[in-house]
Amino acid sequence: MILEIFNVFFALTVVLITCYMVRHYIFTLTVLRKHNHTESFRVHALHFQPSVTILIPAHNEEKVISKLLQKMTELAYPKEKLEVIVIDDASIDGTGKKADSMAKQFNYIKVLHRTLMEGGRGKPAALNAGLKKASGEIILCFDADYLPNSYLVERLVAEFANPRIGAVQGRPVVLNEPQNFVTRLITLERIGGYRVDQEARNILKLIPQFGGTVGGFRRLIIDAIGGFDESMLTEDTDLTFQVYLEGYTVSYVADAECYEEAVSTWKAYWRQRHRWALGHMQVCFKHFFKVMLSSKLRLRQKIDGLLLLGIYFMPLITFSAFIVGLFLIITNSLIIDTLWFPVILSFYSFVGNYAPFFEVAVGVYLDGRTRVQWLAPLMFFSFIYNVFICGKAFIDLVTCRLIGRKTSWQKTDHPGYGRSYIKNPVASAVIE
Amino acid sequence: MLKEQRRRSMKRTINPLLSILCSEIIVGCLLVSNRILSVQSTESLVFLNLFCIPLFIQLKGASTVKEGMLAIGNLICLLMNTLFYYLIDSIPKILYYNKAETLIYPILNLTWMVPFLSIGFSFITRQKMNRVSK
Repeated sequence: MILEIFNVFFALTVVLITCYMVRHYIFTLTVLRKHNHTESFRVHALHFQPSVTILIPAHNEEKVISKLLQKMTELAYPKEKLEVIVIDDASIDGTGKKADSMAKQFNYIKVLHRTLMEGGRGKPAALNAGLKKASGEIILCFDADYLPNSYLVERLVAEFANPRIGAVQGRPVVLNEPQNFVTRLITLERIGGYRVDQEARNILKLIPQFGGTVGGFRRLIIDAIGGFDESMLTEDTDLTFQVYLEGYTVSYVADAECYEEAVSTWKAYWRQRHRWALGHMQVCFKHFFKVMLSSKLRLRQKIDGLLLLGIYFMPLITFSAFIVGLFLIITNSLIIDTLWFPVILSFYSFVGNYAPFFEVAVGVYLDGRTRVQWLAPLMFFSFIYNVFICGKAFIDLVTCRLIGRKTSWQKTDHPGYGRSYIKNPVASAVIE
Repeated sequence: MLKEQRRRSMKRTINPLLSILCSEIIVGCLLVSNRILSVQSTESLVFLNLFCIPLFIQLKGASTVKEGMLAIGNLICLLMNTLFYYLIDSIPKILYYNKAETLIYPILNLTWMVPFLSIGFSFITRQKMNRVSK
């Protein structure tokens, strides 16, 4: 009886894993096909210039905030339609002072200081505070460690010329890739996730994700849903689903590139991914049935949305399938032998989007990169690490629910070394 | 001009021959694994081909290079699976012998398949970039 239950469980998990693998294979083929059949030239609706507010939540970001604000002054978007609000979220370092000095020089830069009493409760709370001061029709968000190029705002905002677009997402590119092994792996993950995954979901009109930075949304949507849900650790994923449930869509703009500083230690990686995993799980519980029953989503969007919601559960499901499968094989009771293969295959995936190695390989190919491709076999170790991260996140979520405790925000540290890794003078000129 | 024309006509003759050769290698590998080796080896080869063909078709570049890569992949697959077959065969026949293959084959196969694809893709990318720079 127990063996039969195990066999059924194993078969069900393998079916789920196979669904994800097929989904990503379709994504990969879709992007390759588009790459072969379309020109990269893209017409932007440059005549469309609504008022824009850029929100920059910053909690102890003195090492990176000046450079970002400097980049903000170099944006080509008309300054009379631009407003930059730095939310100094209870910083105890020089973040506020540095932002103030920029605000004195440029009248479109404003600083909102939050005291230790009211601030430090996470990004959604900081964004909500910023929204109260924001006057733009379109709200863009940037994390403090990002470096936009001069035309980024135009590229992002142009998408809103289409009234059905509720939110927009650009492409983050890792700046400190050569720093070490962790940053190189994150680069691969970003390439797989944005160059293929987001792009394919955009082409197939599924659910491209708003990533919380290098992106934005319509003011009227955030007002309609009553601001960001401060109990969510991944307010971006939450907003993505809110946008779709309101009847709008999210657009991904591949050529709106922005440069980020990736975490560079396994410890920082753990903290960041733990928050993402916990936040995604929260969003999954919040929106699962709403997505399933929504009349505003098409069937394929519902399927994609549900698969997207479950992504951070997959390492746990895969790992339990591995353990159960191992037991069934050892006890000679596995009914269908071939089911074992997808389980092993899925160990070569990145967890953030469940992008398997072939998706990453194609993303790297499309970007015209070669050597970073050789790290693909090491995705296996990243996956194993993420099994523990997601396991811990799941336990934390269950514990919080059981004892009624609130989940706490964990800040990602940005040491500000990113720019020192720019070796290419052309890239340097663009970014600098 | 004449040299260029001769080169093109040579290419036109050699390319189909190379394609036939690559197809023969792939079919040959499948037959050998099916006749001599285990079912798992044939499954690995079938998976490799089903998985790679739709991907490789979409990549930019000479078809002979892509077919060549696929043929090399099949040869490596056959070679590795022969090794795995004899490796498993050398394990003392204990109670769960039959299932050792099920357990180990996918793990071992993916340890070479993923690096092979990543190196293959980087090779094709390099070719693409060289062509663009020319």
